[in-house]
Amino acid sequence: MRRRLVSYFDRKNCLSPDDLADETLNRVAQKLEEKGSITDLTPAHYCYIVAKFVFMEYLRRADRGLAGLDELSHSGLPQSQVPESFTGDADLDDKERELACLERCLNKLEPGERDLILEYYQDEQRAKIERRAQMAARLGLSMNALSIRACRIRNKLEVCVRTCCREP
Amino acid sequence: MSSLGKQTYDDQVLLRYLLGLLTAEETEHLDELSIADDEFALRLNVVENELVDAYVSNDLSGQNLEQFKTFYLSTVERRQRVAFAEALRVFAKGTAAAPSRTATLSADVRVKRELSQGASPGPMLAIPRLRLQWVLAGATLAMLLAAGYLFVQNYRLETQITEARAKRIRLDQRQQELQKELNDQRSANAQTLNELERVRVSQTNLDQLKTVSLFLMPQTRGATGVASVSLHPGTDLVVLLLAVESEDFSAYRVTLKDPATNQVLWRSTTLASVPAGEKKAISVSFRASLLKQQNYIVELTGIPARSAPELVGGYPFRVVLK
Repeated sequence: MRRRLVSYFDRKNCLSPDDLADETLNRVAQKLEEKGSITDLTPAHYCYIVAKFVFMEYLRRADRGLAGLDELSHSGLPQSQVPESFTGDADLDDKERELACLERCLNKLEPGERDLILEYYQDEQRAKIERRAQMAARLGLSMNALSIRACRIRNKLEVCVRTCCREP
Repeated sequence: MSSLGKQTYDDQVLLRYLLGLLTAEETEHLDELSIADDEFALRLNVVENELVDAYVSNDLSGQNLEQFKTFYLSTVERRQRVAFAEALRVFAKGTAAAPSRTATLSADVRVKRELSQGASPGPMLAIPRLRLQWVLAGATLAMLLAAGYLFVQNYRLETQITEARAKRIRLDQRQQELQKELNDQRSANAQTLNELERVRVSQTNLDQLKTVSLFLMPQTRGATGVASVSLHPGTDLVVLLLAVESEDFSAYRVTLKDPATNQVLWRSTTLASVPAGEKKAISVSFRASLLKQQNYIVELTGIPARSAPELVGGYPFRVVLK
């Protein structure tokens, strides 16, 4: 759920989607403590409602000019105004660090997950599609199920890599 | 709030949602699903990963690419996702190529190192190499043997050719000799035939010759009469029988002379005496054309074995031509 909330706030071009997601979950938790349970909506839907309110508040703060620089989003900014370090020409050191963290995080995966995720992203274009079809057949999965399994492993890796890259 | 009924999600709609290309109402609806619908959230996650992967693989184009750059890459979070996708892609490709290349490189390095140090490449490679050496050695030996055999055969054949040529020359020479002998024999045969023919002719001629014979006694003292012989025209031979009173000699010779001039008109070969009744005689014959109408004398000479010839006697006679 937290990840969904982060993605939601990120799609809304909020600068601090993590903070907003945490804010949302805190409010939901606080509501549960106050009322004991949420019966009229599903928990996920309730989270959406709260997230929507949090986003609305975020926008109101921005309109009032009360938002700090760190809360301002880059939405609408043209490509040219996006920091160059994020235009795909990232520093080589950052790339190397990311690769090193990726290797470390891959080694933390179970062997089966590691092999799956590496094989899933091995080829390009037509060969990639054919390889994934062979993998699905070999594992006894549908293509959709295989993509979901790969997506979950990838999400796990991505979180690990970001944590690793933030380490001093 | 929108109802969250079961529905299928079009990936193209999700793609447009991620690129900010939907209307506000559509966007809000999918915003709600992205949090409240587990299946939708999962599918959206997959579509977003595929979108980012397409970008890092340079598979985006047109409006999608432009929108990705201007809209999707506008937040730090999403740029970090792109960076991660790039790293994962690089790592996955490197892992796919690395194992075989590394193994090949390791094998090559190991083999090259060992070969440079003079060591054998290992038992697995030594077996084919040893077998190859034996095969080469066997092939070399076989070639040498074949070459030696051919050399010997060649020498033998050359010797046979030389001998055959020499034999041919000898045969040619022998043929020439035989041919010469044959020719000589033919020539001799021809001469013999000619001689035989001549003799035959002669014999025939002899059978047809006209002869006159005369028996003569040796001249003695006081004898007054001289035997005469008449020669008719056409007389071919004159045959004289010379009586021999003693056989002191085994061989005789006869000479025809003109007593007036003592000229030798005819001389015989060596003759032997022939029986003439109770006595012996010497028979000589000569052409009648030698004689004229005159007196002649025939001298008989005895030829001893070891001494000089001796005059035995003279036999005069007279020729009358008719």
